[in-house]
Amino acid sequence: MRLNKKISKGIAIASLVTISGGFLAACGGTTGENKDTTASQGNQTTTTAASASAGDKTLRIGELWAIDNIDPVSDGTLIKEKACVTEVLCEVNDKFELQPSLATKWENKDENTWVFTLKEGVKFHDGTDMDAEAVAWSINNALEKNPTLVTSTKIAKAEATGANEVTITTETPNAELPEFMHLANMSIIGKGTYDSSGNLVKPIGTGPFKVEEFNSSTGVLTIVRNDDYHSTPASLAKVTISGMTDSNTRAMALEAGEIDFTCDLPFNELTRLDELDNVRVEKYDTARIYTCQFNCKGLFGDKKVRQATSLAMDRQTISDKVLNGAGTPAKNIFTENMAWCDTSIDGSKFDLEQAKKLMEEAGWVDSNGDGIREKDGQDFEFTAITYTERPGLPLIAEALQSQLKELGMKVNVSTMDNAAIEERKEKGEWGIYLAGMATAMAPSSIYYLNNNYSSEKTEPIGYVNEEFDKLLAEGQKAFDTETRYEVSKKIQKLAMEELPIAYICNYGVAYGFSEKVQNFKFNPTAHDYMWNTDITITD
Amino acid sequence: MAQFIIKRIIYGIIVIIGVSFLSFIVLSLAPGDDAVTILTHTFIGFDDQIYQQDVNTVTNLYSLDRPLVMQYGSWLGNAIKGDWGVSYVHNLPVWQMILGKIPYTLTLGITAFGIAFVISVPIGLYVATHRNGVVDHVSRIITIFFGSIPSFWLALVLILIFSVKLHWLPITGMGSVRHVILPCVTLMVGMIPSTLRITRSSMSEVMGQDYMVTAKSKGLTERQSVYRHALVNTLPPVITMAGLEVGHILGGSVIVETIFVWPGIGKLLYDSIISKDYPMMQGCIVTIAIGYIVSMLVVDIVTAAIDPRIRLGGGRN
Repeated sequence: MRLNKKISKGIAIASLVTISGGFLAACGGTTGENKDTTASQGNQTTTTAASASAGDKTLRIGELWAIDNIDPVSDGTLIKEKACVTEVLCEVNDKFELQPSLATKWENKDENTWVFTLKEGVKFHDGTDMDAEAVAWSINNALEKNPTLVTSTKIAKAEATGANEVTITTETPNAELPEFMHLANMSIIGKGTYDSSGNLVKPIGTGPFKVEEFNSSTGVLTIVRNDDYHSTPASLAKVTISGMTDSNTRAMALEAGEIDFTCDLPFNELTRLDELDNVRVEKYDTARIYTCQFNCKGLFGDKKVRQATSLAMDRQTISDKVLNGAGTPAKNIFTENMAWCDTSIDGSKFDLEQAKKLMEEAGWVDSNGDGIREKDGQDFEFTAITYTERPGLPLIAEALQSQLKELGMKVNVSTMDNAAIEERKEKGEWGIYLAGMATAMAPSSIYYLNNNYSSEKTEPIGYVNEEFDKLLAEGQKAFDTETRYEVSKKIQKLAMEELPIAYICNYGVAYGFSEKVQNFKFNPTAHDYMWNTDITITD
Repeated sequence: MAQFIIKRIIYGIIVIIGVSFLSFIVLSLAPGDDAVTILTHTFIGFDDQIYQQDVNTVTNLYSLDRPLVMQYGSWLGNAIKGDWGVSYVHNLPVWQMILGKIPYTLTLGITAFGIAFVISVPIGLYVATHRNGVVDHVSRIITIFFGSIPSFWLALVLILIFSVKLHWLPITGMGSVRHVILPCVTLMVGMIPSTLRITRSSMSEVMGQDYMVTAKSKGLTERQSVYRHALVNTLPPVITMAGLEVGHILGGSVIVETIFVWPGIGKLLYDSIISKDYPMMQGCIVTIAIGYIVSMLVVDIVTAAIDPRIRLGGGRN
């Protein structure tokens, strides 16, 4: 017995030596740089926790994407909307109408030439002037570093043509160029954002917050108030944005009081979280929509079948039960708050009897009583394809599978990676394609419609309608906003009648707040979230 | 011995090249156009229209239209020179990003492994010398219980109890011992059962060997026979197991790091899988493979030093 005790003691000592060595090796293996990083992060975390309790207005955000890069040209949404570090030439109001921002006015000299007049007295965070020369450099830099901006904006070049006047030339006419200057990746940044070799130092903008520190290893971005802001300074002194990709972790971090704000919470957690004393959940519709594109080369070539399918979608149930209220039934392509939305259209009607009638008119009847309609010996059976990157989509696909069965359709669901969708569509092995689409990536009344209804875009799905092409061409040439809105409304009417794409629900977002966060005002133009600078935190 | 080590290093290099080739080919065979992946994750987003013009631009920019073998050849050539490519999503050098994450993963993994080792090896040795005792039975039940718990479930339960309900420990963040506890315990719980079981069975086997009886019959006390003969013969399997666990550290904490937002290799790999960042995935897989090879090399050297049969080719090889 005594012997065994001694053996055990000996083993314990040997083991302790091993673990101490291992632990020291782990710490010793850390490079000097990373030691500093950890220490800095440690201090940062401590400071954040302490300051939150002291009430010095630090907002802690749980961001849904990992933060590894803060280049304002490719990660503009993070830097402009979520961090409020940069600003754009043209802002929009709640109705998506253009408003002056860093540009006070703009006009088109001819179809390819636009002149923007800049707000005077604005300085970048590094103290340099935001003048015409700096703005022209910023625009040209964005076009060079992010080639997709050339495609969407059609800009050839920007040049300073006065102290506060920038002239932008487009390759081809773009009647909505000011709208595209609202794109987050077109934010105006100072030259100090990059070093002489073109490597990112840190984003230098003109916004109400400036970057204090970015720890690329831990993915935490710390921003502080810009006291020299050219408009009303922010209420908050500091904001930390931490990348938390797991939605359950975000929900629990909010519940445990580690973060004050987050978004895209798990659908099945929304009700429970909202019932907690220290958490508040708010749901809003964003400028995105759940769409159902029909394969018109197959079963959905007949307009009556498409209309019947749309009528058989119980959008309210999908909104309430599947999305847990994060999203409302879609009446039209655009949400009602968008200035160009035709609010007289209501495509959200659920009428199963009318749907059945339309199917019969189209020749699809269930003659053998198996619950599936047939025509010329062919069952109405198809595959609904969708992707996993938007968590609501696979759930909606399953709901539609059940709802369309009531109409006599057999739906097989196939969920895949977003990158595999195009390949599957090209093979033609699909009946409907469910997707999430941004309807106002730029606050444009024509851009989305052109991308989804022009013959060039609809021909691969077997639908061509020259009326769309005629109207789209008219809209794209209209340099007058009101004319464009009117053309847009005509296209919306035709689109909701023809239904090559049905609209299911507006893409809702669920925000989770700590009870201490006050004065939040929802910005419908944000892509995930954009907090207003007069947001406050109570003690 | 030197020849043995050189041979092992050469084998290791061949395995690493094999792993990198396989992972490159398998990742390249994933459905979908890489250019579309890059566009949706880096420049545009899922919800906007993709233009063929942009697809062509990105294809040229990243030289995606070359044959796979050429792409791999150029990757390998650059990788040897220290250039592991550029992340599709973050537009930063892969190697630079991985290097920044390794210390975090090692800190978490080695701490968890160290504690698991300290707990499981002594208990394993004790229960082997006290077979069928109370401690043996209890440890057996506990190892089966711990060994059956999925780490993601345990992580969420620990968070729920110690962070959400009791507010004792933080869920996310870095910088203090309190931040390490929950992820460390989650990892540790997965490591203890295997180490404990292998220690117990190895020691039990040694205790039943003829030379242990001989040792006692030549007059050695139990303590002397255990220290002089049993321990040294128990070590090789335990060290091999420990090597596997250490090798597992770099890649084995994907879920734990993701849930606790621990900025290590595991989370980097998870994020790169989610965003289809193939160069980053490739970099992480090769790094994990290197971790395994290096730890196995160390294990081979240590066990060869302990047991001459191994380096002479008579035993494990």
